[in-house]
Amino acid sequence: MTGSSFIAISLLALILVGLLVATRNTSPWRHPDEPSEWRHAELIYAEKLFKEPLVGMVARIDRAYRINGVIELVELKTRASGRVYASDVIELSVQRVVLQEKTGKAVSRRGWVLIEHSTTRRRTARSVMLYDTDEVLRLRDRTRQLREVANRVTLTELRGPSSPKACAKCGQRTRCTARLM
Amino acid sequence: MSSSSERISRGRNDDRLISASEIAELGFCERFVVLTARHGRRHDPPDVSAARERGNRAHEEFFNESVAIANGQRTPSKRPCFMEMRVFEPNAHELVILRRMRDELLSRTVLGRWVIALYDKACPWLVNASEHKPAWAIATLRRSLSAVALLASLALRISPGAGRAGP
Repeated sequence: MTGSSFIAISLLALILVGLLVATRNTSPWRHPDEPSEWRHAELIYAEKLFKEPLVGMVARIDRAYRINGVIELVELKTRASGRVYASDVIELSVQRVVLQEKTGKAVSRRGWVLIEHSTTRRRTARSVMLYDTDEVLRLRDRTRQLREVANRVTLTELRGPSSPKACAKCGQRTRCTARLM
Repeated sequence: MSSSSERISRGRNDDRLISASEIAELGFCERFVVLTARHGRRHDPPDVSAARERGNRAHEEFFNESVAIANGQRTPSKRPCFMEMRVFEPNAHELVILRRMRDELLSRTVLGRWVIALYDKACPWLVNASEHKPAWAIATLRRSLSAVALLASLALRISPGAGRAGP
């Protein structure tokens, strides 16, 4: 086989393989559990703990991908509904601030909540917009403040859950007198 | 009014690090945060303990999947790269540019992702088929791909000599 016929056959093979791939029923990047953005992403952290005394916070990152040169965080949750809660967004936002401070690398304001259904175990990934650093530090300060006053504060003075249904699954429901008022 | 850096530095004075999940509880309920500070997490109701166990198991499996993904990520030893094995030197500047083109340009579009998959699938065949090909045929491919890399470097705004190994 001559060199020119090799090049011609190489190109023909590329086209044939392309046609084979194109006529498949499913995309090679489609996976029932994962968004297409992750298919060519580089996995850089998994279950990794980051401590950053500078911001007084610690975060365990379930998974972090590098997508188009930027780090994006993934938080796994198991629950019966596919809903994303404010607590998910806060948790990812804290992780983002800790990781940025610890490594100096840019972390995307877009994060992912991967929800695994508690019975079917089917996973759904939802992208969320994370809070900025100032908002995260405000939440950190509020947490400290609540801990400091925990033994003096009246529960009714504090913000309750956004939905009364949340109380049914709360670990502190038997001690919480505010829910009865 | 304090700046962001001033607010960050205040963390230094607090020995106790607050975890992301503890701060996240604020999004659930402030009363929960206070009650947990008062009483701790002991004696959780059975359904809460069961949910936590389920979550721990899911995280363990998720981590194992992550390890599998990391092990299966493309490496020269696992997936032959035709350009790396037959066309360019392993540390060639063109390869760096072409990889960046793959990650930063092609992977952003559907068509581009098809091109990447096409190349991945064709690589083993190309590596075998090109083993005994004349040098001029490989040189022609190298020149063509170098031109593609040059165009990609312009699109990516990379200096043509940037990252080149050696003197």
